Amino acid sequence: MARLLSSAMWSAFGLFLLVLAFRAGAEPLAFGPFRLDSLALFLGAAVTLVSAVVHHFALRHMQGDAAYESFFRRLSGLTALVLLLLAADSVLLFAGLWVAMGWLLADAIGHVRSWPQAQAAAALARLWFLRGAAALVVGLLLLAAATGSLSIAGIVAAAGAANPLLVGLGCAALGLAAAIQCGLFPFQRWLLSSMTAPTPVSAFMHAGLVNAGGILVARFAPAFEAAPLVLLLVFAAGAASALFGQVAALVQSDVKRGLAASTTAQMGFMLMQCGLGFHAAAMTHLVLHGLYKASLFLGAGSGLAAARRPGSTGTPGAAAIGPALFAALLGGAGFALASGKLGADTGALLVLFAALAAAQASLATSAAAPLVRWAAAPLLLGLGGVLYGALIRGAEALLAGTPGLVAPQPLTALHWLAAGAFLAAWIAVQAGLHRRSAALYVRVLGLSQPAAAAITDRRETAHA
Amino acid sequence: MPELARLSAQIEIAAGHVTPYWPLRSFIAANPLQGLEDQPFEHAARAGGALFGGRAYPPAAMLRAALADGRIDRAILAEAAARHGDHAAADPAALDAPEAATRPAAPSAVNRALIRWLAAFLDEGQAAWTMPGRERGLWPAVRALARHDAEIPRGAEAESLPEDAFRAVAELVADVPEEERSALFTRHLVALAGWSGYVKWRAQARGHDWAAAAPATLADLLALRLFLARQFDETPATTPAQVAPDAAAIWLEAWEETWRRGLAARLAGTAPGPAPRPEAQLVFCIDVRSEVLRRHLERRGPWETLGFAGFFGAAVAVQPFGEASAYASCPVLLQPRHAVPEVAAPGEEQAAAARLTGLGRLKRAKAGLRAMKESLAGAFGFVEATGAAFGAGMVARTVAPGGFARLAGGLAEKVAPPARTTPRIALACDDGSAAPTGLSPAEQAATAEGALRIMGLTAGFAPIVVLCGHGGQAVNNPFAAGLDCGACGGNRGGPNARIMAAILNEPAVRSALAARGIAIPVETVFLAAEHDTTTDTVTLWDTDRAAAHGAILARLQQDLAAARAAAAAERLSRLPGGAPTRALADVERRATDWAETRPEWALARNAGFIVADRGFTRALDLEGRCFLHSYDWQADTQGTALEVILTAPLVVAQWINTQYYFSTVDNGVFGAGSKVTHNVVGGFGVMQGNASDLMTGLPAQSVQSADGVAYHEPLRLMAVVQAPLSRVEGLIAKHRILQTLFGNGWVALLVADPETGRFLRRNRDGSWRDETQAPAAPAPALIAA
Repeated sequence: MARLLSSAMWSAFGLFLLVLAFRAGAEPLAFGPFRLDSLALFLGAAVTLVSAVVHHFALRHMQGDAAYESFFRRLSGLTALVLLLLAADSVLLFAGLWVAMGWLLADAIGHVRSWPQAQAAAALARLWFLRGAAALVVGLLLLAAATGSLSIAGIVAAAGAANPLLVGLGCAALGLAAAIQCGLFPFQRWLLSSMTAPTPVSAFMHAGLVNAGGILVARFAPAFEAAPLVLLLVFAAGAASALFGQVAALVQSDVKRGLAASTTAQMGFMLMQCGLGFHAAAMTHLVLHGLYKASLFLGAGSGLAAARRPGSTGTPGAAAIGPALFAALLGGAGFALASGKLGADTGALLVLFAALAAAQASLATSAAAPLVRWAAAPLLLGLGGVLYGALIRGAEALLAGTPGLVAPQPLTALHWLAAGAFLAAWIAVQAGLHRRSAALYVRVLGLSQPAAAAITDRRETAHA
Repeated sequence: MPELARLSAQIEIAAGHVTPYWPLRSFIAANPLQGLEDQPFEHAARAGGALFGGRAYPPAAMLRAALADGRIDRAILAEAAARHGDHAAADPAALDAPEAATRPAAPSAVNRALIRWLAAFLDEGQAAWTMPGRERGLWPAVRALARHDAEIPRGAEAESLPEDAFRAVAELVADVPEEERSALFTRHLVALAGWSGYVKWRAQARGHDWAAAAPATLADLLALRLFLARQFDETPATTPAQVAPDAAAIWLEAWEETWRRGLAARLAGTAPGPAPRPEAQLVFCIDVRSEVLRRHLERRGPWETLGFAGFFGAAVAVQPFGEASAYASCPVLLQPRHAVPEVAAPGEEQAAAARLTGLGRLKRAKAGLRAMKESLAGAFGFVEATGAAFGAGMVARTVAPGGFARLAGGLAEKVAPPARTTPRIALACDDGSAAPTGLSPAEQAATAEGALRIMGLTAGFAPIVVLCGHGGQAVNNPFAAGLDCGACGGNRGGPNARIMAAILNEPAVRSALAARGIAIPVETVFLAAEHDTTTDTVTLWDTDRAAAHGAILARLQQDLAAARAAAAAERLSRLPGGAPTRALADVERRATDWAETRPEWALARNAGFIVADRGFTRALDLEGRCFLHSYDWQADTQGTALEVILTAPLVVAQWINTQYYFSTVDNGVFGAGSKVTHNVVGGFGVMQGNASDLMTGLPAQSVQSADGVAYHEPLRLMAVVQAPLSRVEGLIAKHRILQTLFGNGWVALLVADPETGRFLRRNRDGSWRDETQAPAAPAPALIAA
């Protein structure tokens, strides 16, 4: 049974790739309450890939587990639900699938039935998923009322001309549902308490299920764009989470919670991209982050290698600043040119993040020869920027058939503020300024704790 | 101040109940009830069960299953019940009664807060933003931060307590009567026994960088616990013991007796034929896994094998090539006396330099990747730019683990090309600052003599003598070091074998040995090797040394390959999902598969420790269940070799045996729990799920073939010693540790007296019962050998 499901997942991945290759950019296929567009195909391929790998991994990893068969049934069931969700066009179906997905995921977090802390973690996740589902239903009802349509295609087509207040409130509710699903700050607690799940479940969850929040926003992209204020709100919430999650990851001394905090950050970044109007870029981020994070979760047993010697976290010297700025310039320019993000709009923020990544990478070469630091590394990073930009442009072209996925927004003071906050925080951490505040350390540590009931505080209850 | 001195003594008493926990990088087995070994096993089981809240006897289902499939003999069970005057205990129903009497312990806010702070404080490099003030010590550091902790009700009160941990403890227990204090401290310290164990280890760790960078003692820990207990108004729970019915003790005894008598009968029933004059002698580690390979090798040709602790008597710290520091590669009972660096082999200086450069590049690349992941602003672009590569790697590792390992290994070799290295054993002083490395000629000779005498190899040297260390192979497995050599402090044994072989090939050492009566023929060559216990591959080093014995070497390598296939197939027949028909492919897969939780069984099912000439056991298939230590009772007239064997390797084997025992009978409390929900913490240990006690002991997958199905049989160790009874008695009388282990039932003892041909079992009170069996051949052949 387990082997069969694993093979089925690989086949499904092959099928999605094949259909995607033939139908990219084509008109969506509509059948019954479903609508298969290129976004669904693209994400479907990604989800089945991760699911197939996780199935394959778990065949060996979970060997001997008392609930081996039901583990695989649940994993396959979750995959199927996500695939249906991607293709669902009826809002009623969408809501139903959303609820079922949350329920089954909470079930997977509590895979070990005899472990009270796993059951507490599952109960917490279920509670938040139900709250998220409630927000989703409210949002869908408001949008349906505003547009008079019960299909997603109908809603997004009519959203621009509908009552802006209803559309705005509806989108805000959907945004809330997305934030909960993505484990965004301040809803991170369920995600940070979910490490009672077997490792393969965590891998699939962080790669395939928390993403559903981003998918939700992208699916209703034209509606969000009809409510720019809400879009701005999504941006702000995403940015706050990206910053919080990345800082929280710094203080974690265990591998899995560090990865979970990073997921909060990356999901924040993804919703931030949505908020900037670059939904296609967000979907690319979602897929690539999924591959990245699934790989790190499956490899979480290698954590002993993370040990360092005391005092090995230094700050880069002043000599590193020049090459870093140069690399940032080349990396940012390469990305801007290749992706076409040249306008004076929210695309500038994507360019900024590409430039900052290049600057960070440049710092890693600070021990190398001057020629490497000043020439080879910046040029390579510039090339990296070009490839990264081309990747985003490619994704945008691939998803062109889905409406509203590329809609740059005008820059506002909030955008500048967020950009400034990232820049300042990055520089502060590079300079080691954060280490001066003990209060901040304790605060961040406290905010990134799992729920009390999900901590195995006594050995007797541990999972054996 | 006498008051503080008293307090210190009370803490010391409590600390005795804490078993130190070594970082997982060098896996050291330990008895979780170490502090109770001075009591009879049954008392320790009861007291330890109550203290740690665990079960100290096999659960009823396990015992019934053993009865059902004959591993517990019904007659022996009845006999054991009769011996204890409890005939009803032999009835399976007797196992039922009190196990239902367990009740769940109340949640503990103290434990939760403590886990958080200990994980932050003890971290050894996982977190990029480390806890502030760690250099001042555990209690002072948390004391300063407590005011910011929203979870602690009145955290600022910590600052009104003294910064000195002892004084803080004194103030916190001011209203506790003196005579109750050490019991209170004990309950506090065992509440999170794993974390306490790591603090205990760190407090005495030598040469561990973090011990200085973030110093912690059990007094610190107690101050913190007592402070938290006051904050949360919590008293340490007297955890309800999972009381196993007395019948379980009787059943355990019957299970052990069934196996032990079977072994004794088989040992008595074999009359060893004369060993052929060997073309090569191979010295393996005493590890139970060696027995399987030795048996298959011996059946194939004129090869004699011996067993000796896998550090080969070289109590050294090994400094790997390109590393700045050395690690202790010897039993933890010993302190390494010499550091031995691995340096470029002669003529390899250039290749070695290239490798060093390459290793530096790899290290910097790794650090750079990590900085990208941790970057506040760079991590997002990094994830997008590299996500596809991570994905490709993930698919490859999952679908074709072996292929991925070869590819990754090949790439790493491109960057850092391999170079031949050799241990530099000669005494050398690199610069004024560093301690001298290596051994003086006299030290080399003394080390060589000690090792040869204890392994009983002082004459009859074959042309080739192979010293074969061992290590396991596993990826993505925090317990990988658990597959390595316990005698090398949980490290691979190859470096020690190379050091010892180099010493024994030194002409100066040879002549010094000859002067002391050990004449090694000029043509005899010592070779170093390493047995990979996951794949059963044996890698020989520097075989060009044995060029003069080319034909022998070729035959040996051929037979090693054949023995490897047979040994791998045998082991796979015992591993769940094992494919003995595709043995080599399956073991290679297990060694490289990141999804694998059971790369091999390691020392599971260990139950015996046999100290004897190999002729005593050669004819038997011991199923990889016995430690085998070579011993020549005739050469060791003074008993000095036996003294070392019984007080060092046997003691280590007992640690291993009890760790397996307790990890099997209660994997949650004494073991590390299931691997599928492990969470590596601090770079040195694992927790379960979101956060938990530091999980000491062995993971479930190391002792169970499936959830709730034990693979390891929890039997206490039986030592079998082939030596005159009087010699053994003399040693027991001399060593307290032996009186403790044998007298308290932690280890059983069978003496096979070669002078009388009698098999004598030691009773706990020191008397002997004759278990010589009727058809037992009193082994005249042994005496002749």
